Amino acid sequence: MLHLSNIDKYYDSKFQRTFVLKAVNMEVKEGDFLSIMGPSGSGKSTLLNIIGLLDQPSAGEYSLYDKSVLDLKEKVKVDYHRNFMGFIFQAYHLIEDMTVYENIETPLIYKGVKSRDRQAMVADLLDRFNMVAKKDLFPQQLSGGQQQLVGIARAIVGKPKLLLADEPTGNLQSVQGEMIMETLKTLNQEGMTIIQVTHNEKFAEYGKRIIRLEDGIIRKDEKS
Amino acid sequence: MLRIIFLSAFRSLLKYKHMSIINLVGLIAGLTSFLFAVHYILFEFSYDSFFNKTENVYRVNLEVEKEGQTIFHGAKTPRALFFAIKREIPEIEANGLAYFEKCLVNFQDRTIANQDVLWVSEDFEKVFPLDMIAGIADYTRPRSGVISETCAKALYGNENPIGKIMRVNEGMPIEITGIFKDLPPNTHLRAQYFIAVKTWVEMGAINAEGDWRWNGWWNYIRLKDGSSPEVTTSKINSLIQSYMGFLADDQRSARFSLQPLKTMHFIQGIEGEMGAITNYSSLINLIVIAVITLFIAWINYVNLSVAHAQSRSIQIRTRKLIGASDFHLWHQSLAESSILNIAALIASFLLYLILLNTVASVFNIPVNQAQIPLGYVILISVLTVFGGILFSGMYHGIELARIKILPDQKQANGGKVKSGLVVLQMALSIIFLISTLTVYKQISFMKNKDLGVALNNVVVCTGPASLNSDGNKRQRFEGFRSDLQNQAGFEGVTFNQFVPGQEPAFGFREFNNPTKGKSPDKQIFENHAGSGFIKTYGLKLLAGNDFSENQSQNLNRIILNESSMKLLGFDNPEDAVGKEIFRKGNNSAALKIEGVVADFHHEGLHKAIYPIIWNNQFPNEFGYFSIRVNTQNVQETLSHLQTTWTRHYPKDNFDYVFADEQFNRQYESDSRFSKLYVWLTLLSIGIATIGLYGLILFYLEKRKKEISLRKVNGANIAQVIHLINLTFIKWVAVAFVIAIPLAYYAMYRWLENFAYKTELSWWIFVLAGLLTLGIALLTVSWQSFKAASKNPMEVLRYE
Repeated sequence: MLHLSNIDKYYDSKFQRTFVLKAVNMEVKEGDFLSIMGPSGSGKSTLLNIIGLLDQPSAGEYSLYDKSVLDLKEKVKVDYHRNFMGFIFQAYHLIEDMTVYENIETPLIYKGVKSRDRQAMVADLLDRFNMVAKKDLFPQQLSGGQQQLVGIARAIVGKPKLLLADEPTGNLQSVQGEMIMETLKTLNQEGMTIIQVTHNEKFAEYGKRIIRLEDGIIRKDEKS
Repeated sequence: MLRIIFLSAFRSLLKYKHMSIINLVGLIAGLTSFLFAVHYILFEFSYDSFFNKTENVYRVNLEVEKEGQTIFHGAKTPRALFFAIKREIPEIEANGLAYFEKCLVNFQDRTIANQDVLWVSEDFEKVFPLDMIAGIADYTRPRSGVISETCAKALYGNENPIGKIMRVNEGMPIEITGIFKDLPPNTHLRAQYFIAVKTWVEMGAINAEGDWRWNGWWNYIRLKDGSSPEVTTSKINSLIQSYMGFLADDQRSARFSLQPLKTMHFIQGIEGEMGAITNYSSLINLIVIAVITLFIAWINYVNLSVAHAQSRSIQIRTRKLIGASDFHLWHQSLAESSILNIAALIASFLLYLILLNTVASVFNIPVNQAQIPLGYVILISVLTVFGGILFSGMYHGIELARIKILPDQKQANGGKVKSGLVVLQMALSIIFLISTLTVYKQISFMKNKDLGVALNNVVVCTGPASLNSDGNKRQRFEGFRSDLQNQAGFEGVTFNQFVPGQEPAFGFREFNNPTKGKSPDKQIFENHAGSGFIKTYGLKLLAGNDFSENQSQNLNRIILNESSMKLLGFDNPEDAVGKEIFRKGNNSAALKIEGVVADFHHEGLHKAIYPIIWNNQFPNEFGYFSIRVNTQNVQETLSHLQTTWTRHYPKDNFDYVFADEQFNRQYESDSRFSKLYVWLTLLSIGIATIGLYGLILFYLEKRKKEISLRKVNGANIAQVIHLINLTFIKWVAVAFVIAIPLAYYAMYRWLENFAYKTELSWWIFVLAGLLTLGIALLTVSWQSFKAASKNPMEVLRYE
């Protein structure tokens, strides 16, 4: 479903070119669960941003379902974000002025889903994540793990094909981290394609496949 | 969807209370003052609009020209014109004639002086229908008239005035046929009584058909629906050929014009207005200032919310990431600005309703008695607020749209606050300060300028109206005068037709000076004065003498002021004294020049000094008696004066005013406007200041890491404060440069309203700049001191 070939990302300064990513080739199939690992500054987040259409590569090809997605118009990008992919973050990035319910509902509103359908979809997820009782709480009133659950719920409520997770367990204690990883695993088993960036060897193992980056170059790409 | 947008907007407003309060306070202050300004402006524009079909009502004005030069442009026209229009102009539905007089009225033992009486023709009622409470307004019968509700109470007490006879001035009996509801303050008609002018015809004071030569009457017409004012004007002008051929003898031409009723409150420069004129440009300034004050409050909102959006940019990015388009972000900012603005509008509206009477009395505006339709105030304010919501919401929305999902490297480093709007606010503050300082300087200039006439300690009494037709009134005055002069404390006693500080209602004539072969085409105000008027008013006698105490020696003697002396072609005062001049027309007797006095300001400094001639005739009606008092105890002297007055004039009330107070009343409108300007200026500077305060908080929040790093690397507190303040000093400097030319131009134009004006001194500009800088630095420095004195490790630890 997703194909990267010869992706470079570099910054030019006066006298030299600094590469963040160099000649990255990568293919992700539908139903895959990919973990990207590597030390700080190895380019993992940049790679995820490029995949998530948040950043442009300096050179190379990137296509989704054999369609090039470089140089897309803002509108088309927004469409991809609304319908094709969901994001979760290390810092959750929930909207603080909104309740749990509203946080999950918002992407649907942006998408233009009708009110009755929204209610059903949000109720489903609340149910699934056992958060019905917490639906009227604000993010600050939840634990980190619960906030991340809301983050996941918000990311998947629009039924995306691809879930991008940037260090989803980075701020969590290990028990909560495991709970999140289990959730991701279940989602993957249900057919969701997932790409996560992580520091944590143990959590990387949840992926079906691990890519190891070093200085912007893929050193290893192996099944776990 | 709407629910969630408003809910989340509401929550975010509650969460950032500081910011919301700053915004709300600014908006409420701005909106409240805007509402008052709207109310006042509606009041000014509502003049005479309550008469039915106002648009059909016009006044006939007259312009006389000679050799292409306008020598007279006045609101008053001949009385014969009234009859001619009635007879010969089919386009009119009705026309009316009016003459204004301050009168003494009495009923039984009650006497009231200084009443506003309009003597009006039959049909006047059809042009200006009154709101009758009882009886009818019928001016076809001589010796009858109507009275206002308030005056009816004052004069008749609990009695029903209808059918009762009141006495006017020397005792003219007038039967009251009706009571009308008091005219509201927003009309140019100045009248508490309307009395049939036919009374005078019946008394033989004027003839039945009127004459064409004396421009002493207001002629109003009401056109039939659909009649063209242009056609009517040209038909009225054709009357000039038929009846005013005499003008050609002096190579003059005349032109009548129709002035629509609704413009009568604003057009300046027409002689002989009945009502007060409001300076149109002062009013426009007021509108502009009120709108700008409001605008400054909106700028606060925009500045703060933009700064705020940068600090909550993560949230904005998240929203974008989960699929929000720019449109959605706009909804969000529109919702926030709607909530704030609507809340502010409701609060302001309540304040406006509560404070209306107070504000009206503080600024001495009669607005609370006039019926201003509340609907208009609501409509205008709602529309304005809607505009404000759009402006601030849109601007904010555009700023939000600019935030990229992924922060770009360059943006991330900067601690920049949008400076454009802040500079604009500062520039507006500087312009306001310059304007206010200039207005104040002009007003104190007017009040302190040497007028050439000593008005302090002069008491001006309204002449005894009951003696209007008494042949002995002059003798009685002489008795009154010598009585006063025998008492201590009274220095000079004189009479005048009009005294300094009053606009002469009549007395303009033309003169010629055969000695110098001069016959100026300009009217000279011919006033009456008693001997001793030079001393009473402290005038400077340049040559010759004051009038003699011996009245018989003053026959056909006159005194000139310097302007009339020059106009008549004399080279110097000595040259003029002893020469003879003549009134134009009617075979005047030779008038011998007895003395020449230095020019002085007979009216306020709006008007240039004009030529005046005094003769020694006793005022044929009323007039004013001026008495210079020289005393430590004003109250006691006044009571002596009153006793003396009552002894000599038992039928007339002792009605007096101090000459300087009366003179300063001419500046009432300027004082009012300057008060309004000052308040709005202070308010808008206050709003801008709290906005700046809010902004500095964001600014320092963004730069706190940089500040800490500087301190870790050895910067001391003073250096850091200097660094932060430098930004604001730069902004004030830019604002100053923008403000100067604009303020200069605006004030230059404003000062053109005055014949005598103060200078636009450089220090006003500098002072305004320094004040703004001072306010900005005061606002900023405490916060920058706090930021600079913070332990840098505290900040860096959390980074």
